[in-house]
This record gives sequence, structure tokens and C-alpha cells, in this order.
Amino acid sequence: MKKIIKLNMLTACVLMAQQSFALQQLTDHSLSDVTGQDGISITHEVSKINVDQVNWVDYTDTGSMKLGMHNVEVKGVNNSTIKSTLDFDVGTTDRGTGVKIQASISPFQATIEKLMLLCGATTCTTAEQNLGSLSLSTTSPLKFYLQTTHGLFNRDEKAHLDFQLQNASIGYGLNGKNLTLKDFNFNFSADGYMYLDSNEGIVMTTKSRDGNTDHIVNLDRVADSSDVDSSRVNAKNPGVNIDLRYGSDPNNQKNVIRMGASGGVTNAKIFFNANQAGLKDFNTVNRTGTDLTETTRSASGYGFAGAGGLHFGVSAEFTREGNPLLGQNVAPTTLEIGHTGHGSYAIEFSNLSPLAIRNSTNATNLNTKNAYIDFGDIYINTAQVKSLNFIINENVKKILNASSTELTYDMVPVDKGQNVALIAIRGMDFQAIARKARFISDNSIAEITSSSGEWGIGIPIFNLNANLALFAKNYTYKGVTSSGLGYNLAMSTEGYGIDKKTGTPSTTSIIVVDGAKGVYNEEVNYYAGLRNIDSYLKSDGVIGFEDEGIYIKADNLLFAAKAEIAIGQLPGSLYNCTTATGGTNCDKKVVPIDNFAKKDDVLSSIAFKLEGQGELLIVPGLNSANATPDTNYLSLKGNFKFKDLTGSTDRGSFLSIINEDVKAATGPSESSVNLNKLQGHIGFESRVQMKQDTVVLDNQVKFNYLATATSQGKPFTAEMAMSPAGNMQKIADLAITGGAMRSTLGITPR
Amino acid sequence: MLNKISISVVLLMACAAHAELVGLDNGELLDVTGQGGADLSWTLSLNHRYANDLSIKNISDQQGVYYTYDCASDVQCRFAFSPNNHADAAGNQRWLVFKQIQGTIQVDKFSLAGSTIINKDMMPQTALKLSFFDDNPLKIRNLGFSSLSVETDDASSKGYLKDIKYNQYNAYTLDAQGTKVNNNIDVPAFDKGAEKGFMGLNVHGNLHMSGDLKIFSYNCAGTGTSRC
Repeated sequence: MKKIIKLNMLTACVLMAQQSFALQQLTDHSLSDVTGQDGISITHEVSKINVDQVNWVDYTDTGSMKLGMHNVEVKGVNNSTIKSTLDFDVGTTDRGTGVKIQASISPFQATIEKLMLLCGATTCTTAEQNLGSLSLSTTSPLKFYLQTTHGLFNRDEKAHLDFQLQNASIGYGLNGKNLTLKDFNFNFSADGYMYLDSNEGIVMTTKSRDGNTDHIVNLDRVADSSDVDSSRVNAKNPGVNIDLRYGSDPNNQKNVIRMGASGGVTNAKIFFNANQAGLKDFNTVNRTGTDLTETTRSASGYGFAGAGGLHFGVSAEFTREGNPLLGQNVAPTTLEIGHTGHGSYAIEFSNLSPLAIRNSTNATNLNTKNAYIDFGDIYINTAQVKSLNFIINENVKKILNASSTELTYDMVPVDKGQNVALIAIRGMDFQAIARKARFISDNSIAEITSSSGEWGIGIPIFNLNANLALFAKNYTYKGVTSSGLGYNLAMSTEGYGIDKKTGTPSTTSIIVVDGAKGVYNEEVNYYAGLRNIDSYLKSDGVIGFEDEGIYIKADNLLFAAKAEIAIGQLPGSLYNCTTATGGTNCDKKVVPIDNFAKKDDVLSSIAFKLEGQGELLIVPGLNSANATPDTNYLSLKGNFKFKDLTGSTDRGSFLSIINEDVKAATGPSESSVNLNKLQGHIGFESRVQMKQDTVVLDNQVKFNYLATATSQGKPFTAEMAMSPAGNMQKIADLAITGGAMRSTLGITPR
Repeated sequence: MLNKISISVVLLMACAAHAELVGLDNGELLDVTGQGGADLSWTLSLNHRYANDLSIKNISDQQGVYYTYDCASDVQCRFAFSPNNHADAAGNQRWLVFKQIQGTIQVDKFSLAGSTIINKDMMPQTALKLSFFDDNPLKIRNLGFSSLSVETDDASSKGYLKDIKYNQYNAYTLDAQGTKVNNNIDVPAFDKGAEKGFMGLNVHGNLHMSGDLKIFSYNCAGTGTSRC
């Protein structure tokens, strides 16, 4: 009986508590407080928002394709209401009439049950496709503050913007499992210009119209509110923090990878419009010519794009120490990448430089330009696509043995076309080489106090073009059929060229850099690795979320690339020798600015084409209170089946080691050693372990992974051939009947 | 995989570069290096327990050694090589088959750095410097193969998949009347159960190296005595 009374009391209390939150009628007295002279202040409170459908309609192509969020629910955290405030004020500034807008939304949870791709016309192939679910939740108020000096949109007058999305969680779900951005931060404070333009659309930029004045966007680090070690004081995460977690249990997700950026960036720009004219345009570089500047060519097959699509771009330059814009309070840009979760380690990169250290061979003509990222032109369309064209460069064309640099690929079914959401990227550049890197530990364990090494890594990307079509697709894994996210991806990178926008030498490379001071007391900039990577990746298949990890299946995979294995100094560095040790040629001699276009540093080139089908499982690391890099690491498991040969002249998948010499009499000549006609069914497993001072890459290859004690599977076979003077000459056949090979490589930078 | 490829490529290049060098003497090699670089440790294992089981953290520990042969079926641990034009009269390809190929090699530490040299044209050039240390030898463990055999394709099977083991041989004795009596007799214990072949190889030991290996690019211009 007593229990029932208590329960009734509790119910009454709960009800009263809720009533106390309800809005009350305003009295005249309180109204006078609100209607003062300082603008408008709106406070709003809501307990729950339900939205059945929000659709974005693309009126071109079939005339009725929609990308929609269905069954949206937004509610407060821990049964409290969502309180939002908006202060709006207009006042006189020394530049004119300024606007001040301040908004704040208390913590909330939003779930979008279904992300739908809809096609309503009779010509549509698929009427409805479910692409998964989305969720967003915040733990601290989402804040927005804008102050302008003259009007709301003005190209010539400065505005200030603060945006604070801190420690949020954004999840994408399939089959009850989620890929989550944990502790997601998008936290910045910026000065710049906000304007509307008939060509560019809505634009926010830090640079003035004449380009002479620039401002800083400060990606200020954010206090970490979860799992912080007791020894840490004021533990923070990067201002832009992308911490990927995976799993079905939201309270115990597994660890995938973490990336972050913080500090000040300049020359930042965001634009947003609907102009689809550039979707068909691809930049390429003709490397056989003398002018290595990008040229633009238009591909066919993009007639579906019209006024309905989105077009936007984001770009920014990374600052280095000594940048006068940084001032006292803003730190130079640092980038982070590594493993995540309790007890994990990552690498922080700083002293970010563009490829060329000087502008000319004059030792005093230092390049003061910044390293930068430019996501290029990003286009989002919904369309019914039969086939798409993609433009590649001459190097890739040669590897693919293609008849043209314009490739065509079909969607399924090709006769009617496929209903897809198409994300296209044109001309993405990431020209940043870190001359300094250091290991950092996750906030869940003690900080690494030992001094940092003098080394860095460069993974610059030049002219990345991509088409990513997304659709709903079912797949079968271990006998169980589930719904997944179908994809069809084409992607390419340019090895080397002069960027059209910036006019600077640019490259796609994976290099390690020695950032220590050399004999001239500046960074010596030795680099070693794969440089000038021309690549093309084409894959279609499905992405599914399984208990073990993220499952990616490629029904048709084609990966072709050519790269140079090189050792040298970055263009524009000073040769690390003096007159005393190396003679007069060493006197402050500058490495040629077009060093990456020359062959002087190249030990050898590699080229390969892999064609077939494969499966990949991304297995995240386990999280636990006593996790170490030995228990919490990222691993990749997969298998690959080479495509069958179509005849005796089919070279199939191959790997080449190429030597290019410039002969005095006849000019450049190429000779190569090749493994052609690769056949078989290969299995692999890779583990990436980020430790306190070492990265361990543990890789296992099974040459015939379906073979068992009783079944012989399909042995790995290849044809060895040489091409001493252009003609391919077979030497021998070779076969590996099976077995396993494992390589464990530990890298400890100094 | 890529790592393996790139490392083997670097090693291959080391050989290639040495073959082509001309006109350099030690005096021209400067030893000017930056402070950066990396210390590397590398273990490569083929068809051993370490290769098959990723949970094993090192090639040996207090519980035992993990560089012992491990293969689901002997037929699967083979490498076969068939040079051009090696076929029997009927056109069946002949293979040189390395049976039970296996091995583990490990270097606990070698280091990689950049260095500047003065090349034959008296110009500065960058070289990749690999340093090996006497106290970190190249550990070679059970590297080799148990038998080498020439196998020929036939209608039913590729030569490299033939599974023939020494077990018994046909011998005869003469009975009291002097007539032959054929018997299947076990081969001697040394060969019994072994795969068919004529030679095996097993390398086991430590290779101590000390010094620097500099690898740099060289353009063969086709002038003078250069062979290209």
C-alpha cells in the first residue's frame, strides 16, 4: 500500500516538475524588461520535436528525385526540455549599421530514423531507397555568435563569427550498428567577410576583395569532457575533432581512427550555391609537354545535372610559427591522426609547408606561401544515371592500356539507369608537408613528456577527382542477408603539375621528411618515399555494418597507379653540404624548384594494375579501462580474387618496376621488370599498432587463402617478363601454391 | 603488402644501383646527415608458426620458438618456377619446384636517414642511408626448403601440385630357385614420408653486419663505357 502512495507521489512530483517548466503568461512588468533599447531577445523552450519528412527535391533529370530525412525526432537530454535563446541587436558601428546575433541551443538528441532516396516519376528505376539512419546529440550548448560592422552581408566590411559545436556525437547507422563521430568538435572563432554573390552564392571568406587583407580562423581546442586521466590538467581535443567509433552498443563503442585540426588557419573560404556547370570539368596535366599547368577538359555524361543540385567548397591555408596574423593568442596549425580510445596514441603534425621551400634558385627567395587544403568543387545531386565519364591522365591511360583518357563506366541497370545520390569532387588539393611530428597520447592516459623527434610526414594530394554514387543495396555475409549501402566509386589523383588556382608546383606523394636543421641552420628537408603518384580507383559494391566490423565488398575493383620511389631534398631546399666539405658546387646551392618534375632523385618507378573482386573488413580496436596498443588497434582483414584472363594477349593484373634513363644520344628510355597475369585468390590481414614511440605494421598474406588440408584452392601464379627496350619479353612462369607470409615492420622515428 | 613490396623494391634497387656505379671513390662520399630519420625493426616469416598466427608477438619467447614449419598441407607450401621453353616432347611445362619453402628473418634494429653525397659530376646529391649495427644481427631462422624437384604438368594436374612422397620402393629378392620375388619395401627412415626431390637447404644463424649502405639515383646516359 505504502509503495503505491510513494509511486503516486512520485508521479505527481514528476508532473509538477514538468509544469514548472511550462511557460507563464508575461506580465507588463516583465515585458518592459524585454522591450528595452537593446534589440530583441527570444527564449524558446520545447520538450520534443517530431517531423515526419523533410525532403530536398532535385527538379532536374526525372523531375522528382528527393533526398529526405524521415521520422525525425529531436528531444532534450535526460528528459529535460531544449532551451534555445536568440538575441538580435542592430546598432551603429564606426563602419555603418552593424548586426549582432547570438544564439544558443541547450543539449539535445536528434535522430533521423531513415535517410531516404526517393524517385516519384514513372520512369524511375527504384521508387524508394533507405540509405540508413543518422543521429546527432550534444552535451554542451551549441552556440553561435555573429557580429557585423555594416549590414548582414557585405563583401567589404568585416564580420566576426563564433561557432561552438563541442563534444557532440554524430552517428550513421545501418542494421542497428553505428559509425559514430564521438566528441565531435567544430569549434571556431573567425574574422572575415560574409556576402552574397550572383556567381558564388553564399560566401564566407577571411580575405578582403582586393586580397590584401587576411584574417584568422581560430580552431580553438575544446576541453575534453570524457575519460580524462587524473594526471592531465586542462585536457583538450582539437577544434575540429573527428573521432570515429563503431558498434551496436552506444555506451561501449569500438575504436576506429581519430583525426583532428587545431590552431589558426588563414585564407579560409566557404561557398555554397547550386551551379552545376563545373561538374563535367576535370583538370589534368600533360606531363610529356613543357607546360605542366593543369588544363581543363569536359567529360560527357553529366547532362542530368541541372539547377537542383548543390555546389559548395571549403578551403583554408595552414599557418606556421612566425605568421604575423597569428598574434599572441592563436597557435599555428597542427594536424593529428592516430588511433583512438582508452590508452591510444596518435601523431601530431606541425611546421606545415607547401612542396616548394623557395620560389627560385636564389637562396634568399623563400616561399612564404602556406600549406593549404582545398576541397575543390563538391557537387551533390540526386539523379537517374545510366553511365558516367571520367577523365584520367596519360600515365594512368598507359597503365590501363585504355584507348582514350576519357573512360566510361556503366551503372546498373544500364538500359534504364540507376537512381543514386551522387557526390562528385573536382580538383581537391591538400598540399601540406609536415616537417615536424610527434607522438601524442590520448587524454585517457598520461601525457608524453619526452622531447619530440625531428621528422615529419607528407601525404600531399593533388587534383583528386571523384564520383561517388550511393544507393541502397542488400548483401549476404556469412549466409545472412542484410541491407547495406551500395556504392559506385571512381577516383583519381594527379602525380605532379602546376596547380591552376595557386600557380604552385603540386604533387600527390607519400613521403617521410627529415625536418632537422642542416648545415645552413634551416630545415634540411630530406624526403624519401613514393612521390608523384598517378592513380585511378574504380570500385562498386556494398558497405555493410557487421558485428565484427565494417564490411566493404567490391564486386569489381580496378586499382591502377604509377609512382616514383625517390630520395632527395624538397624543391627549393639548400643542399646539405658546404664549400669546405663538398667544393664550390655546395655553396648555398638550392635544390631545383622543379625537382619533382626531374628524375634526379628517382631510384625506380613502380606501376601496377589490380583488377578483380574483393572483400574488406575494417575491424575496430576494443575499448577497455586497461587497454594498451597491444589490445586496442585497428585491423583490416580481406581477400582479393584476381580477374580471370580473357586470352593469351591479356596482361591482366600486373606489377612493374620501371627504370627510366635519359640517354645522351636518344633521350629518355624505359626498361622494366614485370610480374604479369597475376592470378589467384589472396587473403590478407593487417594490423596497425600506434605505440608510444613506434608505429608497428603487422601484415599477413595468405597466397591461396581458400586452400585447406584437403582442397588445393587456386594457387597464386604469375608470369615474369622483362621489357629492356619497350617490348615485353616473357622470362618464366612462377607459382606459389599457398602458405602464409607475415611481415612485421616497426618504425621508430628519431 | 605494400610495405613488403616497397622494401623488397628498395633491396632490389640496392643491387641494381651497385651494378651501375662508376667512377666514385670513398673520398667523394661525404657523411653529412640531418638529425632526423627512423629506426626500423623488421621480421619477415614464411610458412612458419609466426607467419600463420598473428597473435604471436615475437619469433621466440620463454615458451618456445615460433620459427618452425607450419603448413596446412605440404603441397601448399611450394614455390615453383618454369623458365621459358622448358617443356617435354608433348609440350607439358616443366617446373622447378621448391617444396616446403620456409624461413624467418629478423633484424631488431637498422636505421634509415638521408645523407648528402658528392656525385661523379662533383654535384651534391641525396642518398638514402641504411645503417646496420653489429649488435643487431640479421637473424636467419630455418630459411630454405626441404626438397627441390623437377615436376612436369600432365593432363590431370599442374606439376607444382603433384603430391608424391617417398614411402616404399619395389625391390626384389631371389628365392632358393633363383627367381625374382618382388616386394614393396619401406625406404630408409631418413627419407620415409619426405616429399620427392633431390636436394634441400636450411640456413640457420646470425649474420652480423656493420656499416652504412647508401642508395642513390644514377642516370645511365649511355655515354662512354656505361652499359645501357
